[in-house]
Amino acid sequence: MSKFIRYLNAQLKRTVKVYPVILIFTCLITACVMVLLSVLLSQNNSKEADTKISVGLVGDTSESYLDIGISVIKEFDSTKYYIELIEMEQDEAEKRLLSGELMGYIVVPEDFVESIVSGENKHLTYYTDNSPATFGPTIMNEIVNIISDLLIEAQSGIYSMIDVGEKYEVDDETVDDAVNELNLEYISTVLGREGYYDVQFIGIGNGLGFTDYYFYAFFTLLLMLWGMTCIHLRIRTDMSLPRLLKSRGVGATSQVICDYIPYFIIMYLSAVVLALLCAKFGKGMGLAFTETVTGAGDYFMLAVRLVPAVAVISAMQFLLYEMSTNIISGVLLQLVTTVGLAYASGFFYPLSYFPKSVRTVAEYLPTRAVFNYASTAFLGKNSDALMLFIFFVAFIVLSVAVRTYRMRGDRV
Amino acid sequence: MIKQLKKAFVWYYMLNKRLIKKIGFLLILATIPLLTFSFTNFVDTEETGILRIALVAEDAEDESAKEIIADCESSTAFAFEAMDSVEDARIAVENGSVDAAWIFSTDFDGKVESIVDGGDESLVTVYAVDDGIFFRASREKIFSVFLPKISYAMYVSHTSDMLPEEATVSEEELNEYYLKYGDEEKIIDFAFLDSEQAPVEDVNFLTSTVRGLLAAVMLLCGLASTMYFISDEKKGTYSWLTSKKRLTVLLSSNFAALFMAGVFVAVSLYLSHNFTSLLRETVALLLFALCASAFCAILGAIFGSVGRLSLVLPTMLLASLVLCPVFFNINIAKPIQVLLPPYLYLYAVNDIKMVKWMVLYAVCATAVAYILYCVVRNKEVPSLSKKRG
Repeated sequence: MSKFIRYLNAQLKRTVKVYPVILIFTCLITACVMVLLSVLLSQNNSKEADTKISVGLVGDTSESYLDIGISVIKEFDSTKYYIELIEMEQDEAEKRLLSGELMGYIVVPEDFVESIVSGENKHLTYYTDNSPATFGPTIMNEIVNIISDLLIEAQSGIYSMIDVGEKYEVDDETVDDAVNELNLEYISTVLGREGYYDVQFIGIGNGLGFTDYYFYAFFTLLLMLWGMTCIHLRIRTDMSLPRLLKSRGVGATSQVICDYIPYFIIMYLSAVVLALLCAKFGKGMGLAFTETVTGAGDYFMLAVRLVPAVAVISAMQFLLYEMSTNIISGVLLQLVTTVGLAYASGFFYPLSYFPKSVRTVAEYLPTRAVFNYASTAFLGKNSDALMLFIFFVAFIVLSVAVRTYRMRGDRV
Repeated sequence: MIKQLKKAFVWYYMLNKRLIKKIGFLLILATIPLLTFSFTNFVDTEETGILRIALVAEDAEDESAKEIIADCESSTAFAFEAMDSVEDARIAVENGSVDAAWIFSTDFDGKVESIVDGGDESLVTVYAVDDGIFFRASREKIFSVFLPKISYAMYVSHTSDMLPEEATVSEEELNEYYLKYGDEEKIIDFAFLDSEQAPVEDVNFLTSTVRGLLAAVMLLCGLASTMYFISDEKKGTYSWLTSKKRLTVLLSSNFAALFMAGVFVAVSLYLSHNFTSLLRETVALLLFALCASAFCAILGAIFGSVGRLSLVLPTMLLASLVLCPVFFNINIAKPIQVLLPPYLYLYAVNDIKMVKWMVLYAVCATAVAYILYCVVRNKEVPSLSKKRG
């Protein structure tokens, strides 16, 4: 037992020695992630004027009806809260689209309104950013389709009315008056569309709002990234010392436990500091848990509840380090695993965006289990830590197995 | 010719030897196409959407509401899921299995009539947990879902008012006229600046992230190659070379590693339906490999040791994933964004004009690497050839 304590003590001392460097990189990574998180959250908050979707409008917008229509959309329509229409020349629109200032631009052909009135229906063209892999084109395609549908419905009503009027020999003046009335009613219906539905923001149960979701996702991601700052501490290129220790009575299990404890402490300290800072100063970010974690007792309980989450992630990374025989392969393994697990666990895109089979698999990933646990633990609710416990034991047992294997002289 | 090819192959093998010998590294590369292929298959065969929305009729017997629900077709933006009761939908929103629920109210047709007569009725109740941009866009969709009902009712009402009292027009006839125009094609066309881009309906935001992720993996391969070079350099493997020649070896080995990764990436792109054209992909990947080689060489020169470089990697990877348009298109720090090779590559694939910027980047980055390596590092790493000189 004394050998166990002495080895643990030696590992703790070794950790304390390199901790300043680890702390610097931990702070650097945390700062980067926090900046990215705040940018992401501000992009979602469309109430902010600068987060509107900007759409260019080019071509012939001089027709009086179109001009009025554009002004009405800009001033009175509910889309003004998240879409900004900017009139400009095509060259400028293309340039601004490529530079990312615009989400897209609409080209209005000459005499567009006239063509709609006559039934010729010239087409508007919405050019979108050809940037890769973003939601912009998907959402804008949906909005463009919706607008198209609205126009077609209105046209169907008006043209049909004119046809019926013609068939029943209604005089032109009466038809014109009826068309104008129907047109105005369509416009008033479209502008007042928000009155046709009630929106209720229901209290968050296990479901998370955008802000909370990404907070817990990035918190779990941070746990994984922090682990990489300990690479010098954890990568073992030479197995002479473990073999020597074994010969002196400190077996693979004891070694793994002694190596794991300092690693866990480092991770846990970072996690607690970040969680408490967010609890204290995160109210402005709109995080739900800041409402429930207020007093010293709550802070203490939050720190306690973080133990299983940190233990699982650190045990998982510990296993990856055990499997690596040099720094380069260790870094690569950690990074590839982090990105892969983060993506599949829904840390970049919410898991609800994925197909059902991926969502099902994700629920059995350790990172997703930690995310689920954290999202309830932060709120002070009772969280089921059984799955985390199973993962923790599995990772530690596997680490012991890998250490034993490597001590025999073979390399993984 | 064959002799030269053989020589090139030998050089390629020599430069890549360290990586090729790592079974784990090759396994990672080989699993990438497999993973992307399986993932694309999942996404293609199952329903996905940015928002999952539950649809419920408050009155399960209301034919009109049921008809609207049946007509709601899922798209890449919104995935709809019909549910049996309001309570189920509410619970689903609360526990996060759906993002929102639309509850179509009782006596739907009656309420539409009331709206046409000037009444103030609510047709749908929306349960949501958020009010972000996607949720707002989804509410536009609600309106388009029940607009046909309102539009038709308005047309019938106004047409009846317009006709003289003696004219008797049946409901069927009015309906016939209305449906005549219902098949009009969409008035707004959706187009990409780049004509080779797939139509947006064919682009799934989940599979389109594959390219960005693969670019990040390629960059990692370049950095791994740089780390192996630094490790060898510290051991004195290149002591007989001058700094200038060492830089050439570093750039070549980085390029060789990136080229190898690029082949796997190209296969993965093809399997995930992200492949545009052979010429475009080849040019973009080769230029990306050149830019990334120089970028990694610069990082190698700046940080100078495997340990320091390994500590910077997480930040670098994160920056590549978030600042480059992999998952989100964030325009916050353009000067920093353009310094990341994946950023240029992801744009160059879609915009041929960016190719010239990649060429410029490759030239400038190589020049910077040269300055850093020959001026700064020259003092740090001893060279036998220098000593001899």
